[in-house]
This record gives sequence, C-alpha cells and structure tokens, in this order.
Amino acid sequence: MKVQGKKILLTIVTLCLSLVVFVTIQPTHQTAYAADQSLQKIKDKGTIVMATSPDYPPYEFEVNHDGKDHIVGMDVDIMKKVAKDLGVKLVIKSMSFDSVLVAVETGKADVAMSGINPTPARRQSVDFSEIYYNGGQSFLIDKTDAAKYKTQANLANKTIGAQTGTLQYNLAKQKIPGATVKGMDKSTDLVLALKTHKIDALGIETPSAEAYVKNDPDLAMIKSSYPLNKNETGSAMAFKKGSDSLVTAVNKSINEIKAKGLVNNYLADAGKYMKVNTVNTSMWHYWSYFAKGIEYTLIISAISVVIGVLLGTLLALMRFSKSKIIHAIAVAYIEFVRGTPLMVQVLFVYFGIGIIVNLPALLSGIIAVSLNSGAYVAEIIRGGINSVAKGQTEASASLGLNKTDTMRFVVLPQALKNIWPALGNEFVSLIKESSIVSIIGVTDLIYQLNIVRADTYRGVMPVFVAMIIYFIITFILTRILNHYEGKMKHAK
Amino acid sequence: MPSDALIEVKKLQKNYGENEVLKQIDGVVKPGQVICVIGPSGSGKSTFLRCLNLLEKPTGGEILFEGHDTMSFSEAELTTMRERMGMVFQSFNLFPNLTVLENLKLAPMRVKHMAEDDAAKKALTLLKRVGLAEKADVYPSSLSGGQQQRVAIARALAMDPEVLLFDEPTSALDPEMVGEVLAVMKELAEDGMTMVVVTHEMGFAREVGDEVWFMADGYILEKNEPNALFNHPQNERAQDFISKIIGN
Ligand SMILES: Nc1ncnc2c1ncn2[C@@H]1O[C@H](COP(=O)(O)OP(=O)(O)OP(=O)(O)O)[C@@H](O)[C@H]1O
Ligand SMILES: [Mg+2]
Repeated sequence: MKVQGKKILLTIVTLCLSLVVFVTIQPTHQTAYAADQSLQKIKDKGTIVMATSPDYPPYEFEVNHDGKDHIVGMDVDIMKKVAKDLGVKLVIKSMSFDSVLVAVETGKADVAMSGINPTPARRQSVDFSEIYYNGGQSFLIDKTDAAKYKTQANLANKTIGAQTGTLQYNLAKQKIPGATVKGMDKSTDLVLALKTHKIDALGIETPSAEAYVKNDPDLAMIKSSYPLNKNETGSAMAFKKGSDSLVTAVNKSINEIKAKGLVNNYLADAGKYMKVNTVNTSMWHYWSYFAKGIEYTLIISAISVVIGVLLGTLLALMRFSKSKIIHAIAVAYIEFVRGTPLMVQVLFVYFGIGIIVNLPALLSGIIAVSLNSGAYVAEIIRGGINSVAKGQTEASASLGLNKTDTMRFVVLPQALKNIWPALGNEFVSLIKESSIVSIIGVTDLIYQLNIVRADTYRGVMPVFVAMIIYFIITFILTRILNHYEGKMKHAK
Repeated sequence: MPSDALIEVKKLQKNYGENEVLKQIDGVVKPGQVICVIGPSGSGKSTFLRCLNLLEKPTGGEILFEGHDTMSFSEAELTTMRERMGMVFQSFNLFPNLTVLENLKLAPMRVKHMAEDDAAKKALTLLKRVGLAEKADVYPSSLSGGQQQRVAIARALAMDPEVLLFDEPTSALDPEMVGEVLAVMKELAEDGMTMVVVTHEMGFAREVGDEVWFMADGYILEKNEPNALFNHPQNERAQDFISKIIGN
C-alpha cells in the first residue's frame, strides 16, 4: 500500500554488513537465540518501539493538540492497546515509509506499523502479525468525473496514479486493461496530480479514500472490483524475523480487537482528529509545524557546517601530506563521498552504522550531512590553499616558521578569504540538501511540510510556504556571508 | 679549510630535469661580508640564493652553514637554520592578512617564543630603523612598493639573523623608490650585517659590496672586489656583461 524503497535500503544494509565483517556475524547470531527472547526483551525494557510514517490518515498522522504534536490514528490506538496488554509503554518513532521495515530489521524499532500489507516479498524479510484491518481498495477521482467513472471498468485505458512499488500500483498495472500507471512517492503528491488532471484516478486504500473524500469537496471515490486475497491486502504489524513469542502475544491482542470490533471505535477516534484538524487549513494554523521544521533544519545545517569545515580542513591538509597513505586516505574519502548520493549516505549512517551503535535519527542525519559536507569543503579548501601565492609559503619558511604555523597563520587565513564565496555557496546548498534527512524521520522542514500536506489535504500551499521559508533562510545567510566577505576585503 | 666561513658552498649543482641551472658553484661567505651576485637574466642567481636556505633542494655538492652540512639537516634543524638566515624577496612577500606590526611579530613569537609585548617593542624599534614606525597598524596593501620592501627587511631583521639573503630587492620597484631601500641596506651593511645580495644595482655593488661574484651559464665565472671586477673584468663574458651595463 505504501512506498517500498525497501529494496534499495536492504541493498545498502547488506552492503554495510559485508563491509563490517563482525557485524555480519552479529545479526545471524542474534536470530539464532532471539526467537524466544523477543517477548521477554520487550518486557525487560518496559517499552515497545513502533516505527511508523505518520502521513497516512486515518492510519497514522500528526496533529497539533494543545500546542504539541501528536501522532494519532487507528494504528496508534491499536498499538496502544497492544502495549497495554503487554504491560509496557509505547514509544513511537516516526520516519519515512521507506524506512519502517528496515527499522525493525536493524533493531531500531520493535514493531513496524504503518498500514503495511504483508506481501509474500515482505514476509521473506520480516515476520508479520495477523491482519488487524482490511480496508479494501478504492479509487479517488475528481468529482467532476463522477458521471464518467462509475465503476472500475470505466478506468480502462485511463491514467491511474498509485504510490510507487505498492499493491495499488501493481494491481492497476495488472488488472486494469490498457491503463497507464503513474507512480509517485507520496499520496499527497498523487492527490495533487489528480486535482490537476495529470491522472484520471488514484488507487488507494478505502479508509484513506474515505478520509480524503470527507475532507475535500472536489474529490469522489469508487470502490475497486479487484479479486483480492485478503491475506495480502489487509494491514499487519511487522517484526524482526524470529520474533515468534512476541508475535504470538501481539496476535492475542489483535484477536481481541477484532472480536470486540474495536477497530471501528479507533477509526471513529481518528476521524474526530481529522475533523478538528481540517477545519482550519490555513498555513498560519500550522505555523508551529513550520517553526519546528525550521528549527531542525537550522540545527542540522549549523552543526554540519562547523563539523564540515573542520573535517574539510583536515582532509585538505591530509591531501597535502607527504605520506602517501594519508594522502590516499583523504583522496579516497573525498572521491567516495562525492561519488555517492547524500540520501544513500544518510540511510547508511542511520541503518548501517546503526547496527553497531544505535544512533538517533537526528544525530545520524547530522553525522551524514557533516561527513558529506566535509568532502566538498575539503576540495574548496584545497583550491583555496593552492590559490595562495608560493612566495607566501617561502617567506614564512625563510623566517623559520614550521609547516604547521605556516599553514595556520599565513596560508589558511588567506585561503579562507579567497574561498569565502565558494564556502558560502556550500553552506547555502547544505541548508537545502539537508532536507534529505527527512527520510529517516528527522523533523526538518521538508518532513514537517509533508505532515502539513497530509493533514490539510492541501497539495500546493505548504510547498509554497516551505519554499518561501527556505528562500528567506538562504537569503539572510547570503547577506551575512556577504557582510563578512566585505569585512575581509578591508583587511587586505 | 677556512674555519671562519659562515657559509661555504662546494661544487653546488642544481638541475630542473634536463636543465642544468647550476653546474658547479663554489664560494665562501665570511661574517660581516657583503657579497653582491651579478649576472645576466636566467644565469641561476635566484636559484643559487634559494639553494642557500634550501628553498630549493640542490641536486649535488655541499652547502655548509657554520660548518654543518645543510643537506643532512632534519626538518627541525632546517627551520633553525632558516631562522638564522633571513631572506628578502623581489616581490616583498609580506603577509597580506596581517598588519605591518603583526608581520614583524609573527616569527619571533611563534619561532622564538618571544612574549607579545617584547615582540611588539622589537618590531617598533625595527620599523623606526627603516623609517616606517607610523605604519605599524596598517595592512601591507596600503603601502608603496618601497615601503613594503623596507617592512620586509625589518621583518627579516626581527629574527636577528646571522646573514640576510636579498634577491633583487629593488627590481620590482618604481625608480623613485629604489633609493630608500638601498639606503636601508647600506646602513645594514655599515652595521656589520652579513649579506648576500643578488642585484642589478651596480652602484650599490661597487659602493657597498666587499666582493662581487659574476655568474653565467651555471658557474661563477669571476669573483673579485668591486672596483677590480668592474674596472678590469678578466673573464670575457664578464667584460661583455659589464660593458653593456655600464654602457647604458
Ligand atoms: N622551479 C623551476 N623549475 C624549472 N626551471 C626553473 C625553476 N626555477 C628556475 N628555473 C630555470 O632556471 C634557470 C635560472 O633561473 P633563475 O631564476 O635562477 O635565474 P636568475 O639568474 O635569477 O634570473 P633573473 O635575473 O631573471 O632573475 C632559468 O632557465 C629558469 O627557467
Ligand atoms: Mg632571479
């Protein structure tokens, strides 16, 4: 049902595993005896950590209540009940949907619950609970098309949208004759595409479709007529492989929920939140979301800039080292980091390094962005050092200054002045590129933007607001940098 | 073996790849001497000077500083040697990121671990000596060429060197500024500073030099006291060179 960048993630994780040899031994070793420990472990900890991607009402979504952000929804209510039955506290970790399954595989979370379909492919890498809810499949359409599209059969030869790699995507591709299937990552983007007539219909879970229709007068829905195997289309919770005892315990709660029909209560509960939530969809109403996003974006960028410059300087100096090994290490690092996408590095740090030390998402994001920035800054600084006239080094040497002091007092200050504009560009692009950390659930501006979009069912406005915010931040930064550039010119 | 030699150069060679710039250079610099090195452009004068403080690594021969073989120096010994052998460049090479005073204080503080106050006092004394005390707090870029070169000399003096190497200190200057720099150098010579000066200023060489070395084709073709060398050059190439210069 939701995005499945999971294969990429798995590849990355596999890569880490093969890179760090002793780590490869660890997980296998764990699965061997963890089978019966999984439940005990949760009880010993006293908490159960749930990985979820809260941009999918009514399953899970964020609301601002009493000035605080809460993740609410049917899944959360179910998991609260499960936690209560287990006698432990529920801890919710939010992240992108791509990441939730990897989070349980790598031990970042105990359970992934995000409206996940237990497909056979997924069953190979995680254990699933019983299905706790089966919402069925529907299509969202534009209300003006309601007369044209009355049943699924009317959608033949049309353009159908669906989240990439999801069940809806595969179903539309296989079961709707002649359809062109357009995949996108976020359901909010897909709804926007629908409203702007880039797609004719949007394959989506029935509860989600209902939520959209309820909250957006321009939308309508039709039920699908796919012949479906319930076991593949319902939602289930995912656990690390070999968590039999935990799964058994959780299933008990699920059966009780089903027997008492509690899901309908939970859905009604979620609906209440959504009502409260959508009365006021003005962007001002969401200012605190954007404020939090700005805060995190600035924290990540500021820390990463400082570390990036220190690391970059070190790497640049290593490149000038006489030792071939030190030189080679620096070159290899720089080439490697510059030759791989930041997104992959973020995932690597969070999930890969996370196997050895459990790093929180924010810290992982900062580390990845800093390490990345260091490589780029290193090249800028190297250029700066090369730009300092040879006579400067010679004059310094002729006075008896050693290499370190020559670098520190003569070359680097001049290099810094020469590269200030380039460094400034790097800082500005860092602010923009750091947005990628939203995929591991760091609540930066982009992450918050998607929450707001999911919450308000408004596709464009939040994007516009975020754009303006980014622009204001980078504009102010550019002014400040220019100011200092001017100051340094005076000192010439 | 003259034990009173400050610098002794033996069979010095320097190649840049195929290009043999210095083929065989021999010479002795004694304390208090002013040696002027003259010769046509490209004859290797700068290279020779830069070999003395090892800014260039010789490809053959020996350079002894106070009797020690400089080529076997460790990195630390090398910086110690350079600290005692000041250099003044054609293009001044003041540090543009530092004020005049800071240019003078840097090496004494970092290399000799002199206290900041002492370094500043010393720097001001030296700036007075070259007539630029009032420029202490400006950045080099606001000085004229002649002023910059005088600051560069003061900067070298701040380390109390045993010997000063000058590489065409006046040839990047406007003609009206040459005099002020030469005057400072002349005063230094009179105060007994040992100097090796690569120059095209024949008047200076004649007046201040104790010895003039004529360099061409990677050799020192003639060495003599100034009047003898300028008035009666023995070597054919030296005759040619001097007649051209004086003829102008
Ligand atoms: N770093 C270098 N690499 C290669 N060749 C060099 C280098 N430095 C100098 N040379 C060559 O060595 C020769 C001598 O140069 P040098 O600068 O010592 O001459 P000079 O006598 O100082 O000349 P001028 O009077 O023009 O300053 C020239 O042919 C020059 O091209
Ligand atoms: Mg020269």
